[in-house]
Amino acid sequence: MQRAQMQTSAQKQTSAPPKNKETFLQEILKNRYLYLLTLPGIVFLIVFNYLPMVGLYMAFVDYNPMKGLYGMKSEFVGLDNFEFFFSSGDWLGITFNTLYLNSLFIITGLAVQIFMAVGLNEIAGNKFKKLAQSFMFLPNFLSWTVVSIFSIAIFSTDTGVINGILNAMGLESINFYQDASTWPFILVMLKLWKGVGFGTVIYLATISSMDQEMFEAAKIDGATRLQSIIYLTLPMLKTTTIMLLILSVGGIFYGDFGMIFALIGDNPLLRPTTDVIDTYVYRALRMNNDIGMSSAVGLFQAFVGFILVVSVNAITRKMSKDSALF
Amino acid sequence: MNYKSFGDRTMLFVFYLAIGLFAAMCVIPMWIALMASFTNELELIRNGYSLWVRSFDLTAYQLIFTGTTSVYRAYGVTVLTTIAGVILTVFLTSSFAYPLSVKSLKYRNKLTFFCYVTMVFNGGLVPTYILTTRFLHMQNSIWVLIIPAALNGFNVFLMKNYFATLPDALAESAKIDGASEVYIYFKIILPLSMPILATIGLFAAIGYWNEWFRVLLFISEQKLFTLQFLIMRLQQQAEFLNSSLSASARAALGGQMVPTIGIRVATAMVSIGPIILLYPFLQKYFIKGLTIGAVKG
Repeated sequence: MQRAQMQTSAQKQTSAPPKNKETFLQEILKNRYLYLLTLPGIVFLIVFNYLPMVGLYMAFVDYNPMKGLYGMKSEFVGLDNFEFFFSSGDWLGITFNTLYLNSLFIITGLAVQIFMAVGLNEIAGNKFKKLAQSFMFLPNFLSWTVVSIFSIAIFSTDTGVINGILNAMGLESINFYQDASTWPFILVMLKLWKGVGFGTVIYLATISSMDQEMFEAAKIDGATRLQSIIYLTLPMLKTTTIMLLILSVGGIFYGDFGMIFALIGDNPLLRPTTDVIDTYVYRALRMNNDIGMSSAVGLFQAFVGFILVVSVNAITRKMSKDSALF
Repeated sequence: MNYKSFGDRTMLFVFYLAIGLFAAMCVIPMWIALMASFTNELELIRNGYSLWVRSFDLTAYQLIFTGTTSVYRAYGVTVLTTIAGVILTVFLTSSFAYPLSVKSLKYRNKLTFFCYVTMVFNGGLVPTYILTTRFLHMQNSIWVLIIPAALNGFNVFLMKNYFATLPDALAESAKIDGASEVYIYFKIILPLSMPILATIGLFAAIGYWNEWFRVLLFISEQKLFTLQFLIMRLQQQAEFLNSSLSASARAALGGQMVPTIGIRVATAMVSIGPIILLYPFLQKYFIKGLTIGAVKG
């Protein structure tokens, strides 16, 4: 980070260390237009990405906005903010919820996406396939706020479709919006609803890029379609699956704030199963105005998240250079 | 494909059934909401949501189009931020990504790393919040909905990878003919890169169109609310729009209750209208973007 900043300020002021001065200047001058093109992007990243990283320092102070830019001159309190968070007992619950919900999302997503991709591939080239794909892809473009309007129509106690059906069958209504135990299931369903069409695309692309001669050969040898799916298609999807799995594990420490806040808002009844790190930080910041603690939680998340992403990417790179994200 | 055995035909049947059901489930909620937006409020409250209109009523749409200016206003803000945001995103992303793909550029790896760092580590909510409100003073400004979302590492890498697939010989032969870097970029590279520019532009358009998180954080003035944020307010505070209804709209209701459910669903329908209209393009370019990303993303 420091190096990067030095580098950019050097570009702007051309004040590189004397040793490199000539070559550095020559390079900048030679390609001045190309470097000029990168300048807006560099400024943007410094302001909106690097400056907030510096701001993580707030996790170690007793924040006082009056004391210098960012409150940088606030009293240094070391790990007090972390101690407060880790001794509050909240951290176990929200960390568990974040990891648990994300694991459910990843595993169910993977299974359903592969199933749909294999299925769509079997239904080769007709209108049903095209229409089904278009329908499945649509929810991806809706925002969670619109989804929450839909979910009221489905899950509301008095007017919702599910309770309407239950009542018609003579069963009692379920108070979804007051019953925390139902929400992991509902969230998984909504996540699948919104994400499967999108996720299927990559698997479908992988399947259609497979060597078709192999399937022909299997057919001549008398293999059924089911057998060629089990013994050819699925094994050949392994690499793609592992890559996508590993990549999503990299983000497992980040809760889906947009989803949970739009669907549930700040409903304390549902917090036991739906409160994730991101909603907790938001509440600490906006409702309790607890800058110190919320930035400590944020730093905890950024740190663990960073370790996960980097190690996951290192594993991916080792497995296959082409599949590494970076 | 040749389906002979009983097992294969069963399997195909299961696939048709599962895919058909899932695809239907994907659009049914939207259908139910659409029907509800045309349904009389009392009927909705008494009998709940359903698959068809039981008692046709356009009051909700009348109210959001003529009874209040909130929805128009939010529509305007959303359209404006989306157009400005897409232009800014495409400009910033392409101009930053192209030099990173030029192999003769000495510092391109350092710049790539500079961008990569922002993808794996970020300051998170609290520093961003304080930076934006206390340092940049962007709260309650339309710019906060446009600028901070305009550049992200993922898009840069997507675009850089696309530029890298264009043959080097193109730029080299132009250089030999005396073309400048600027000429090469604008006249040769960009025109060849329309598919990726469209993909990134549409990614951005959906992001801006569906924006509400930044409004939640940074905007308290109602005149700058986006559509999605308005919907969220309507959902969490049912009576939110009632206060903004004009006197004439109230008189027209003639003592009837304000259709809060109806307004909520109708606003949601109005907000997804453009997405449905553009859907064929969106689908095409999103799939393209995803498969480019899958090759090396």
